Amino acid sequence: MSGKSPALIALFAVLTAAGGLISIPAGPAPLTLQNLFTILSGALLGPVGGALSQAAYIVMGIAGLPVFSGGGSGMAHLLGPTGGYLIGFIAAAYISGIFSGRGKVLIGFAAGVLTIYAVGIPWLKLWLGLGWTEAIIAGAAIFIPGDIIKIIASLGIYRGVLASGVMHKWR
Amino acid sequence: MDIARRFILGRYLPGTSLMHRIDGRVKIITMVFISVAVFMATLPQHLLISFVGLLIIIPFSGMKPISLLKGIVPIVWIAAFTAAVHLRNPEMAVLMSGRIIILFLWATVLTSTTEVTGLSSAVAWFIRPLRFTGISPEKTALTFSIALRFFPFVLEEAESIIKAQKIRAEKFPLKKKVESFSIAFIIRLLKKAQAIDDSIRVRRLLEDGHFSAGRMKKFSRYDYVALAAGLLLAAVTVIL
Repeated sequence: MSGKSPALIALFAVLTAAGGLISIPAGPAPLTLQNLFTILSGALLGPVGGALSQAAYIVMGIAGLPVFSGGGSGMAHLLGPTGGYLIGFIAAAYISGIFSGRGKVLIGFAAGVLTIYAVGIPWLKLWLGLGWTEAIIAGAAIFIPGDIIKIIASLGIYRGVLASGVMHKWR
Repeated sequence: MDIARRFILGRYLPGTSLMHRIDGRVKIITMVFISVAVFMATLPQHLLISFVGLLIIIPFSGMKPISLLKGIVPIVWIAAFTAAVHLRNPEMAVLMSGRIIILFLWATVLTSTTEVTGLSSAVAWFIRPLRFTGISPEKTALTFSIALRFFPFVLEEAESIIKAQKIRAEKFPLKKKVESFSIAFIIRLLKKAQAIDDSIRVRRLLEDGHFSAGRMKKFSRYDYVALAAGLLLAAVTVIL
């Protein structure tokens, strides 16, 4: 099955949405499972398929479906303070896919998570008028322990899926 | 109301008001301009202009104040955090948190008065210029319609695996349980996606996407007036 198949792209868009249903407030950005599915989408669908799935997720939110963290929706989420993280999802899936295609899955997952912060933190800083240190503490530092667990879990799921034979390693 | 219906409706509040009749594309353009204007505001007074504009359109949206307040619930936390960060400069605290609240109020009015299919078709219409990059608006719209139907399935599938695990009363440690759940969950969904993909290929739905970007209607005079008013409001917020 191609990583660009509409059904697979739709599936990962929905999984990213489902990952945001459980949202724990932890500063300006909430703690969710979304980035787990973002990095997995790139590894399993490839960079283009993964990025498209995340773009589809954002379109669902813009269109008013309650798919953003905590059941939010609408353009304000995309254009507002935490919109950078959402844009970062697209880039993260792409980066994760690039590395995974070269057999460096774990590096791809870590790079994917860092990409989300690379886009999300400057955006948050700009919107909330924070200094760099405050923005990094509020927008990234408190999430790092959770991110490490999510990266390990993603690796386990990725290997499990490949072992099942449902999908093949993307190259 | 079942999960699927609730999800497909999203935040849409059915109605026949003037705002309900305005084209989704006009609402998206207006929202982008208002967001930019609100972001460029340097004094709390500037936000008042945008707020007054909002008060003017509310009666034309048929929305009740309670529906509007529900729209800002998700960002109360962010607004409070922002205000707390700028506590030493009250003007800045009001400006920063006010920006977020105004933006969400506008988005709530626009999103609540437009059906999901209307907004998704509008998004597909906007990405038409990207066709040369290989992104097909029809395929995007098709993906969107599959995703709408996938969401309830994802929730049902999670529920059925949890039930199965309980029936078997597995005495594995929590870590092992979570791991086996996650892998079984993803594999089942991937198989479902594969089945949908095969069915699409058979029915050749790719050539006949339901949410065709080419089927958008022409702008009415209400749309042109709404577009002009939205742009004017954004311009006044920035200039004054």
